[in-house]
Amino acid sequence: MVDTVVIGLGNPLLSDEGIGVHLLEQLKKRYEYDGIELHDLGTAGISVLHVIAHKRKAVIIDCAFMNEKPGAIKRFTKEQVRSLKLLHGLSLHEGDLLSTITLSESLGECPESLVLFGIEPASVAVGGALSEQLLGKVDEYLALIARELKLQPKKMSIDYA
Amino acid sequence: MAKINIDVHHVTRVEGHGNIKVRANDGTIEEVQWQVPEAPRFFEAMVRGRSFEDIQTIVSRICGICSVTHSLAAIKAVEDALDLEVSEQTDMLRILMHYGEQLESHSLHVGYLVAPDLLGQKSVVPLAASHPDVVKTIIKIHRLGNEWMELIGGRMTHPVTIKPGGFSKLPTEKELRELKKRLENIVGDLHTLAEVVLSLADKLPAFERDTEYIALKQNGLYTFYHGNIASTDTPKIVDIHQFESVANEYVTPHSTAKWTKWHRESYAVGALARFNVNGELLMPEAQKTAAKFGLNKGNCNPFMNNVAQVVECVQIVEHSLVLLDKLLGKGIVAEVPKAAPKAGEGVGCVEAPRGILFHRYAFNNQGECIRANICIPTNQNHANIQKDFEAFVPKILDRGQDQVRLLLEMLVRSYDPCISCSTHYLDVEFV
Repeated sequence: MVDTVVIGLGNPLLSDEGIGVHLLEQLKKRYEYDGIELHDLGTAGISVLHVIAHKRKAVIIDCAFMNEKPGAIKRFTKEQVRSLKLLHGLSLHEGDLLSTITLSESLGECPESLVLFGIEPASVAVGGALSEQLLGKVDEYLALIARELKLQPKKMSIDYA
Repeated sequence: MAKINIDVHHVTRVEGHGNIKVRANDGTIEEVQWQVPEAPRFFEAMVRGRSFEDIQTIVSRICGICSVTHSLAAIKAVEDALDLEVSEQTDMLRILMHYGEQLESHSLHVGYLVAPDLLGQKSVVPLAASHPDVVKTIIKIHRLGNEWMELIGGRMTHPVTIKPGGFSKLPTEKELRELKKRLENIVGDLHTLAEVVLSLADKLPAFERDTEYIALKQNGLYTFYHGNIASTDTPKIVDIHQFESVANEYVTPHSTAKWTKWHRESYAVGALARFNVNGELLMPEAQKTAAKFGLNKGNCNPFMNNVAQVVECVQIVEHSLVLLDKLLGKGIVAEVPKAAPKAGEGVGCVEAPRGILFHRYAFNNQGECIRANICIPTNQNHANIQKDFEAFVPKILDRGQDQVRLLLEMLVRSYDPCISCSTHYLDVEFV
């Protein structure tokens, strides 16, 4: 049974907002991930609840406002942070990852190990492409995430076509 | 009477939300406003220059809750522009997939946002502690909706299998049989959900305001996917290709979102609108559920939109079982979608969980998008929310600031608005 799940969150049409989704795609391309589920949940953050349920370990990658320098990546657990999000509950379309995790805990289905990788954005402008600051650090981010998951790089195959 | 000054201002760093503003002094209302200050998202500009093959993938990112709906509206518009006919199998699978999203969205809305109001909790998190059985039922239904979309769409959200002319990957008959079994098993949970909401229905404010309701209409079916535009104000049915003449979009000073109106100053879309247009077409179990709540066509209490969503959950599962029987009876046939670029313009219209949604695209002869217009349901409800505020506030003004604020928030919530859909799920400080 698959006991580990990796989730990329964010909207790739809003520049660095999509870094979680972008890194998930790159992980798929560059690393062996047998026995691990990879999910691009885009902006459906509440679905995190279902994907992490009853897993042993979950790793979530998302753009995060942490008051750090743009491009900074931080590994943390839920206990290490406090949410600054103000939620009004007017719409399903706002959400807070930390309260989704709290809900998972109170349902008794939260993984015993849950690690978040937050990446401070340089830009969340409408457009699509990652900012240069973040693009230049993709390898560094991937190496850190791969180490967390003990992933091995895929063997390079050369395409002569 | 005391002074009331409500300014529910919810602006995070980059995304805006709806604001509620009420000022009253000594029983005199000075200002009542529903403001939508969020930044425009420019999706229509983003798809320009992109291939007809990519449109549905791009616009699915408009929203994480209704990503299937946006993809389907887009693919229907693209196929309309290219004069592409799809097979009955493709059509049924798309409707099924769409139902998965309706179930997912409605259960999320009723369960995570409305139930806490009715049970006196601030959010679903404390509700899980105070009413664990209710929350577990809701999550079971929501989880099924999610996995259902993944089965047909290839991903839990932002589907990847929808292509012009068909699907890039089809579910197997075995998978559809399993889905059918799960749907049969969820019926009991839907009845439980309906009973819970019914036991709390007296907590929904008894506020009524006559308005115009607009939804898709199709012969003989309570439709979410095919049909043309119908209104409770006129027997005339308008072809979806003329949707701009229904929406009549306009701008107001206190909102960055466009507002709409047709026969009156405002109209409403969503589950209650669909019920008011198509209620007699519900299937037997859904009819029974509506009857339990005393929900009849012509209901104009906006809070009953929540009840109409519960009724629709039953309808969706009932009709899905019919579609699955049909699909499995015929067997799944391998099909390879074929589509070639051509110049043209097309419209796609479907019912999003929160109301009727219109997409229009024009393509050049290389199949590049040259123009797009998307008219979303939440924008169509803004004027109606404002009109509700104006009628509702005088009725509740004597209840004090906190109650007025809560009731107005509940009113906005009942419309199930899609106000902003970027995540920024994390905004944290280290402790």
